Amino acid sequence: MIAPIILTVGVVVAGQLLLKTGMAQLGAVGLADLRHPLSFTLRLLRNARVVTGLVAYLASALMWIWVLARVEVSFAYPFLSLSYVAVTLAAVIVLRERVSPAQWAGVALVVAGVFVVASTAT
Amino acid sequence: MSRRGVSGRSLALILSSVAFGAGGQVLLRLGARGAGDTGATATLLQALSSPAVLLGLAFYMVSSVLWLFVLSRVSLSLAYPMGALTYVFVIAGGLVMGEAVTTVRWAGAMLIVAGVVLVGRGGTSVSGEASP
Repeated sequence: MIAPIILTVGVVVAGQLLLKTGMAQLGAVGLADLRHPLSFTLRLLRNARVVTGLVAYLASALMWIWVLARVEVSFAYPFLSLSYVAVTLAAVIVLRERVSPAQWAGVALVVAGVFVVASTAT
Repeated sequence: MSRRGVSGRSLALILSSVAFGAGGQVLLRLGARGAGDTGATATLLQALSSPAVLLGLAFYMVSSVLWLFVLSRVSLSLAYPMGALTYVFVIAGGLVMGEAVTTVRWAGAMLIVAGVVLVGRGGTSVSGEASP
């Protein structure tokens, strides 16, 4: 059951990266934007990354429900922390950002934690 | 990017997002665990007809929207550790539902929380928070 969980996390990460970069293009969003929900929604839907990210989010939600029909949530949910690992790697490889030694240690701890949780499969 | 510069409204946004996120996960599991094993489509249709799953999805959507607000205004060095609380809440929820939450599973979750805190303290714009 671990492979479908990892696959779902991959789709989550893709959606998150698209949403994050799309929202960054739009600038800061606040409650004030909700006073004009129609124009705000149109603004969101004109951004291709936001739209693709939302589709990935929807797909990942359906995949996640399928996962939770089969395994305990306290087992499956910790795997989502692999998103931190994936996004850190993406930041280094794609965005060429600098990652500190402390952040690499964090990545290692997350991976170790996921292995520990994975060992508790019932 | 300073932790001290965070407003009460931002903190409320973060905590609300975490609470809706963890609550949504527990509701999804609560509703989906009864779904049959007769193929992906049948399982999904059965799960999606469960009130708990629908409520869980609503929680999930509220949490996601709140998190977008959070990401647009808060330093990751604050958002990450707070977001990592979700792991603690979800596992506590699993415990309440009678799941096999062993000491080992808690230990794994604590390693993850510590790791997330470290990743968030790095000071780059790296963003990995995600909560389906």
